[in-house]
Amino acid sequence: VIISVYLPLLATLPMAVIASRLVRAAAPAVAARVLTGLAVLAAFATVGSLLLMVVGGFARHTQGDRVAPLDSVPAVLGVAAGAGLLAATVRLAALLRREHASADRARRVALEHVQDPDQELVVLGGAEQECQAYAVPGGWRDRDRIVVSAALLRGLDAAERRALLAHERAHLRFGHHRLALAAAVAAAVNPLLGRVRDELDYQTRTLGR
Amino acid sequence: MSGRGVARRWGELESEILAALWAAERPMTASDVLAELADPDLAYKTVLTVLLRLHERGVLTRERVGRAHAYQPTVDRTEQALGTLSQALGRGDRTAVLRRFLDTLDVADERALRALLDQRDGTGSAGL
Repeated sequence: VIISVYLPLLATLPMAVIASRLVRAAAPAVAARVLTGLAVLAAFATVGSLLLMVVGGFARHTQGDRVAPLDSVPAVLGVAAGAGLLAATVRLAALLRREHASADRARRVALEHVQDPDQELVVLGGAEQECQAYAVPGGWRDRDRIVVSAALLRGLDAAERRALLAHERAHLRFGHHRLALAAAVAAAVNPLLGRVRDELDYQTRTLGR
Repeated sequence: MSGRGVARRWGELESEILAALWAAERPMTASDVLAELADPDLAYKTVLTVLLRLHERGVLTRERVGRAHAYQPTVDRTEQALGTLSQALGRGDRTAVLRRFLDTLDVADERALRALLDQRDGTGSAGL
C-alpha cells in the first residue's frame, strides 16, 4: 500500500539509468524520441507521486478513513512533497518564460535581416563578427529559417557550407526544438531528469536527426 | 519528384547560392557561382535562374560586367553603416573613439541615443 504512493517516483530512477544505456545502442533518431518520451513519462509520474503524497500527508487529519490507503504517508512527507511541487512549478514557469523570450528574440533577429519573406537563409552581415549558426522554427506564423553569420560563411568552403545548411535543416525537419523543449520541461519538473535532457542535446546536436 | 520536393530543392539551392555570395565578399557572375559550388549535377541555366529570381525578390543586387551580370547580397544602408562603424571601433581604443564620436553628435542625436539606451535597459532584464 505504501509502495503505490512512492512507486511512480522510484520508478524514474532505474528508468533514467536503463534509458541512457539503451539509447547508446539505438540509432540516434530513435534514441532521441525514446529518451524524450521516457523523460516526459517520468515527469508525469513525479507530479502524480508528489500529488499523492500531498493528499496522503494531509488527508489523514481532514478526511480520516475515506482515503485509508494513503493513510501511511507521514505529514512531514506531505509538506515536503508540497514544497517539491511548488518548486517544480516555479522552475517550470521560469523555463517557459526564458524559452519564450529566446524564441522571440531569434525570430525577431531573423525577420530584421530578411529581404524577402520567402527566404530560408538569413545572413547576419555588417557588424556581426561572431561565427554563429542556428535554426529558427517558424511555428504557425512564419516559415522555418536558418540564421548564419557572414563571418562564419566566409570561413567555409562550398562543401562545408552545404553541410552546415543540411545540419540546420535537419534540426528543423526532425523537430528537435520540440524534443528539446519537452526534455527541458521534464527536467524542470524533476531535476533528476537533467541528465536525460543533456543526453538528448548530445544525440540531436552531435549525431544529427 | 513530387511538387513539394521540387520546391524544397529550389529553396535549398537558393540558400546555397546566397551563402556562396556572402562567403565570396565580391560580386559574382553565374559562371563564378557555378565554379565555386563545384557541383557536377548543377547546370549553368539553373544557377542563372536562381540568381534572377533572388534579384527580382530584392535579395540580390547586380551590376553589369561585360556581357554578364555580377550579383551580390543586398545589404541595407543601416547595416552597411553599422559595418563601417564597428570596423572603425575595432581599430582604435574603443572608449576613446566612442568619446570623440559623442562630441560629433548634435542635440537630436544625443536625445535619440539616450532614449535607445533607456529602452535597452528597460527591456534588457525582461528580455533575458
